Amino acid sequence: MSMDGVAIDRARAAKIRVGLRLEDLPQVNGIGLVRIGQGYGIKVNLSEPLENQEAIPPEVDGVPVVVEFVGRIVAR
Amino acid sequence: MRTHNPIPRILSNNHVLADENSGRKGDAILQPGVYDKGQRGRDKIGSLDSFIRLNPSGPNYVDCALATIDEGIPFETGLLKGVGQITGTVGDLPAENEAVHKIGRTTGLTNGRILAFELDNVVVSYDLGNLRFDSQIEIEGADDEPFSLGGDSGSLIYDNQRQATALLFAGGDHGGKNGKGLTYANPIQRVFDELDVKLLY
Repeated sequence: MSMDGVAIDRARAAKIRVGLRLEDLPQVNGIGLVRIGQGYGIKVNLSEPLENQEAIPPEVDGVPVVVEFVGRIVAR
Repeated sequence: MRTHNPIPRILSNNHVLADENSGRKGDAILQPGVYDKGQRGRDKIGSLDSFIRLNPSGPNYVDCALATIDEGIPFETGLLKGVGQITGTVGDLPAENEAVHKIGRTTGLTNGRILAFELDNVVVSYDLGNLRFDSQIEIEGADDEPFSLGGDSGSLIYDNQRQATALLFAGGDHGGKNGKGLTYANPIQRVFDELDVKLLY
């Protein structure tokens, strides 16, 4: 990671890899990009807490991954 | 809003104006809505014009619909009541903690921050079932309140420059720095493209 943080294209590529890696986890309810400083990271949303916290790595290809429990999402 | 012929339209969600795909062109649009004791006839302000179908089996990108405005119904294009005039449509990627705002039916004027964007595989609960959305924007409340609650759908989300940013359509009760839940919205340019309209301001 440079002083300027992860570039958007790198974060996008890593997002795809994270999506493939987590596709068997039914608790995942959203994978997106977040701003982290001057760069970008990945956000993984969960509808239910994970039993195995280590199922989601803190970093993929040098891109930071943040995880948040968001619960059920409904049309408003 | 306008189509290629510059006729103003009301923009909201499919699930607000078209009852999750079940509406038909010409259906009465009430203000206040039925939930707020609006009555057919007395409170009719327009008619359902068009909507993008919600797809129960594939990724969705927008939950949006347009209504016409009846003759004699007063309206002002591009005016955010009590805030000012919309200045355009947002273009760039959001900055860190990008501030946004909305005026909604339930929670009124609230302030938020864009937390995530290009958010894929978001499963949203509808009467139709659980629908998947891709390329969405996620917003947290910036104050001690949720950015939105039920009934706020269809609100236009705008930034500090009063540029149209997103169309509010969903939310949950968990998450966000204030713990008051997160709001989900369709990027506004995608909404305009799908409906083939431009912002009238």
